[in-house]
Amino acid sequence: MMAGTVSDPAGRPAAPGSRTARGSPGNSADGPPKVLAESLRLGFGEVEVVHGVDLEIPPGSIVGLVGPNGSGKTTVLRSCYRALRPIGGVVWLGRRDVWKLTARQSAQSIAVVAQDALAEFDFTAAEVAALGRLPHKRGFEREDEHDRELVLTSLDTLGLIHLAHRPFNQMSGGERQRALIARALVQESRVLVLDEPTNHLDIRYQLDVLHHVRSLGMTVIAALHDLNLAAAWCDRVYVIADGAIVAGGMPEQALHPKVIDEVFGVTAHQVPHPVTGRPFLIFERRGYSDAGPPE
Amino acid sequence: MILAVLTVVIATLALTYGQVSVPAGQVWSIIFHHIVPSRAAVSANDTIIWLVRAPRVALGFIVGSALALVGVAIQALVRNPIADPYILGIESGASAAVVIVFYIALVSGTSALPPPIAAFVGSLGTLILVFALARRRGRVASARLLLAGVAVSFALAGITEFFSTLNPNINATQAQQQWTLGSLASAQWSQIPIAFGALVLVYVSLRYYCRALNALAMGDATAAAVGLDPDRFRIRLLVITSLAVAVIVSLAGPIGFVGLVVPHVGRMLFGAEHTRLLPAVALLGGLYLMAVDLLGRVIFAPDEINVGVLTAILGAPFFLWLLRRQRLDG
Repeated sequence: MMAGTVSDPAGRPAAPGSRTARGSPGNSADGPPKVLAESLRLGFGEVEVVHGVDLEIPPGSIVGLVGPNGSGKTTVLRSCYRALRPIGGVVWLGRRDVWKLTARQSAQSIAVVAQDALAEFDFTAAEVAALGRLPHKRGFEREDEHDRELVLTSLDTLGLIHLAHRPFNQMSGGERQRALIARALVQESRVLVLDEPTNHLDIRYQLDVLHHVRSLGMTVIAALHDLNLAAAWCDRVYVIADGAIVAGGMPEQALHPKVIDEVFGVTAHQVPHPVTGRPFLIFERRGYSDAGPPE
Repeated sequence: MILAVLTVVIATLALTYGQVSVPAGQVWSIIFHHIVPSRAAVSANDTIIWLVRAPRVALGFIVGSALALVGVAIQALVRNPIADPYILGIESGASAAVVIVFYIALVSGTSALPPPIAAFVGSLGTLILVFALARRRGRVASARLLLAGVAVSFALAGITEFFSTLNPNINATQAQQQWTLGSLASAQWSQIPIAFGALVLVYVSLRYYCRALNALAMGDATAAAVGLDPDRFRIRLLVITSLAVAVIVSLAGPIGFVGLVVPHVGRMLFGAEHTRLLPAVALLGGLYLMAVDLLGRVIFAPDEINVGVLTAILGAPFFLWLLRRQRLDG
């Protein structure tokens, strides 16, 4: 196990240099906050499935969480947006403990694109995006000019303005995913949690979605299935297996062939991408190549 | 706007027709006379219009409206447009509880609980039971929900029959009408304030929770993502809807499928977004039940068909049509 290669734990939440303002957390004008998970332990009932995970997501960066199915990626994310209360450990949003905020406060700072959004009801794209206003509005409060404009500009940013009145259920997977990201923008939060944002999307839309995410300048934590997407788009990658972090750091370190072999059981070769120069992985079945590790 | 005009038209028709037909002009002068007491002109039809038909029409509107709103809330609650307070057995639960309380009162000589409170306990209990039966791993599957609702509903209807039969004080046919088939025939002015109170409660609270209803309808993860605690919100919805159903059932008995048909038509006309949907559904529901009750009085006049019978005849095919369109494993 290569635990311990987790990158430097600089910038504890109490550090005086934290850029998060007081008041409404993360809503300040001075940029997105840092997110930090400290020895997170998570589980369902009696069964612990995540055993002491540490993550650091620097302000405005994109951090990828990769790992085999069932490794605990989604579980870790759920604890970051208050859908699953940790058994132990803390999730810091700037200098605040996410689990000491109210659901409403946390939603003002953290937006989520989760996996289960499929409605039996015919909401339009604009109505889905408008849900992002919920944490900012009181019960009888009406939508004002600002709310409506925010919905339109967000849909526009994601290239969906022409589909504003299309039923969400009739949109393609990529369009839906973008509508949900538009909702996150409407939420005016500074942190974005993405759970497999490119799942079931055609390659074109995968790149499209990640391009949009990149351009937002938010602090992003994303569970990704495709290692090469993680290598290409993330500033930092954590590899999780069986509920523990196995490697973390720059994509070239974290997605080192030794890690890939250990976690995914395949032989990988890391080469520079011919255009971007970022690490790119080529896989083969374990033991197939001469260069493969001994069985 | 169109809905409001339609409401007035149907209300007039409902007041006009019946065993004794009264011209529309006279109907409104009688109503007006009662609202503004100084007017003279008391006519022979005053009793029929003011004491018999007007409360019935008013109760019909209120009950229809409240049932339709409850339908909207329950559909968001279980995230399934095919749910309805009648199909899920909630109305039967309220009925059964009332009949049991009547029986206990008969046997012990003292009434344990006032009927509306018994109805509330019955409806809330049934809603929680059906929901718990249908939920597995945090998801409510349509098929399981409907089966659980129907099974519980049958059991409760049996219990209602059983206790009605045991109770000699409840005249068999009357019990049949009141507690197994909803009816508006016994409407009185004295019932209107509590019915209207229930309607206002359910409308205002759902209106307050509009955005939350939107979020919940999109799924628990979505709700959590936009800062709503789905479980807590569900409990509030359970209490509100049970309360409204309890009041309705204790006044008019179980009336089925209004909460299914009306919200569906509302969504087709106005979309799924609750800010727009709620006022529309409130009016449509009132209209629908008023119209159906009018129909029941007119088709086989001078005989009457209970409004609950007609809503079932109209609603069940609609339900089946929806069922055909939906994937049940979802």
